[in-house]
Amino acid sequence: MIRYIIKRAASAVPVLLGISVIAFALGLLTPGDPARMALDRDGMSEITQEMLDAKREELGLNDPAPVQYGRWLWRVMHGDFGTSYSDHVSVGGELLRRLPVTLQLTFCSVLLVIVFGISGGILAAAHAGKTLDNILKVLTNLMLSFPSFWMAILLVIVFAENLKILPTSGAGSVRHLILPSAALASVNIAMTQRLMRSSMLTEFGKQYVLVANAKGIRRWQVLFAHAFPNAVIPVVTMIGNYIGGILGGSFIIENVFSLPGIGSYALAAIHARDYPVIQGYVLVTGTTFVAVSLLVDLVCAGINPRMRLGGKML
Amino acid sequence: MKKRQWIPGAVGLAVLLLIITASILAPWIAPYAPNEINMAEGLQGPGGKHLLGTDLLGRDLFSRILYGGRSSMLLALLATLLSMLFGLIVGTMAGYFGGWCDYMLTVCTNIFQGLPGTSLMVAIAGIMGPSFRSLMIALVLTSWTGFSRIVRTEALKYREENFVEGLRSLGESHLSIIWLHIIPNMLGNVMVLFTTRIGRCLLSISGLSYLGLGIQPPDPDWSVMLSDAQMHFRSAPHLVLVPGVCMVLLLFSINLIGDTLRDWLDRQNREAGGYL
Repeated sequence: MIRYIIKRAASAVPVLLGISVIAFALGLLTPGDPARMALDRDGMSEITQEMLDAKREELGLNDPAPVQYGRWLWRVMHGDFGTSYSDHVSVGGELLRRLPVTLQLTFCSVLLVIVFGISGGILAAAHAGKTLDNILKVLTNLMLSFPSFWMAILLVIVFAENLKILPTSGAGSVRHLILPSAALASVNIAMTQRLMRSSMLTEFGKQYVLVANAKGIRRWQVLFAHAFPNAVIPVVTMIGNYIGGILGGSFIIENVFSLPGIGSYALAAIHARDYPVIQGYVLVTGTTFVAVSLLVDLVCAGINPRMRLGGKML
Repeated sequence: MKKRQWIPGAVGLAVLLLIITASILAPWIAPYAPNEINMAEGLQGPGGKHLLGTDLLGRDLFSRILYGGRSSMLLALLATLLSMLFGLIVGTMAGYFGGWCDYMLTVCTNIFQGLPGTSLMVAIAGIMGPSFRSLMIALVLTSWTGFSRIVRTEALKYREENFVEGLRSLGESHLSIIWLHIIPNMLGNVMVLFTTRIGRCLLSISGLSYLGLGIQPPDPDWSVMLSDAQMHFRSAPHLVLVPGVCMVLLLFSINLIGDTLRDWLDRQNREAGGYL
């Protein structure tokens, strides 16, 4: 197990480096002169060439790119993401302040995905080929066809505008999170449900289920005590992968519901061409995603020893 | 496969063809120019002079709907084709040649697969500004790994087959083995992935367009129309509902086709396995 942990953690390093290179390149490739941007914030209208040169030297912009990258990475690892061009607030602090909102939203969505995706999948598998299975099939297909923002708008129209049981926007309570997380989760619920269904059906085809049935064990017991624990493992791995998508999808949903998370921060930054913020967003979401998938893989390996031996890991 | 099982796919195909034909023929069908502003006739309901009513600026909704799917469909098609091409090249190289080449390419694929798609899109839209080109790059960068993974597994499988060894010993070149024997064999799986990916691509594009990072106004686009009309939902619900329904129909038809293809392929594989 320890060998597996080390191997798996080591494989995350190049991905993290890749993310950091992309985030750094973002700052390098952007049009506009960072020195000028940094000077502009003081509100001085006249920027002389000497001031620009001095600032460039101060910010280290004259050094070759790899040196700049190293220095930038060092700063970032110490939590210094620079300051925003538009409001001159520390990006790291602002991200940290907004991160809980995004994480709450992500957490609620993942919870919905686990609960509805897995139970729906079991239900469909238990009724495979029958009416309920077909209804669920059409339903998941529809859920996969709704862009999340459109789902969000419809949910707001139904539950907030017409039924008036849930708030339309804002943050603060669990009630505020219900609609956004439902909209964010719907595509992933559908995907999880399908996966769970086919995974259950695969287990149904195996001999131990046949034996359990032949022994006269109750149907629901075969379903939950025998087939389910085996069927759920690949689904857990996939849900781990979906978390990245959910985290990214919160970028859209936060903006629809005006939730003050890092996604809405990043969108405002894109419109304002506020690069340090975009850099910070890419780094934070990327790192979270890598950390989550690492964690999920380790948990799965803990449950299922076969995964540790698998030659699939490079 | 029984006839009944083809029905969803056939329905999907019919709807998809209808949407595509309507979009292609838009310049001839549309009663008004999609960007023709007529302030005097703003926010009209469906019926009367304008079939589906008008938006805030008095633009004809029906004409805009006809034009509104074009950019995103074209973009999704091109981006998915390019991802497929890229994935095919990388996947076959990794799977067929194996060894050192495989190792390097797989590490590369893992890195790209580890990158969260939306963050990457945000990053690219952030650097290059929202445009057709930056969307394209973002979509291809985030979706080629799916193809290369499948293709690699398939190529790996065929590499060990006797017929490949036989062809090699008959003096067939690697390129022609790959082109004439390996790629045709994996086409089924790749097609299924293609339909799934094109749907996901459309979802990404619509999300970005909704936020103003995708298709740019004044180009008519369903998502942009939706986000523009959202504020006027009470006074003009048709402005929100019609583009949304179009989007869902398009995606739903693609999903139906993908499902039917997958079922068909599963059956084929099972039957093929039966002879062994």
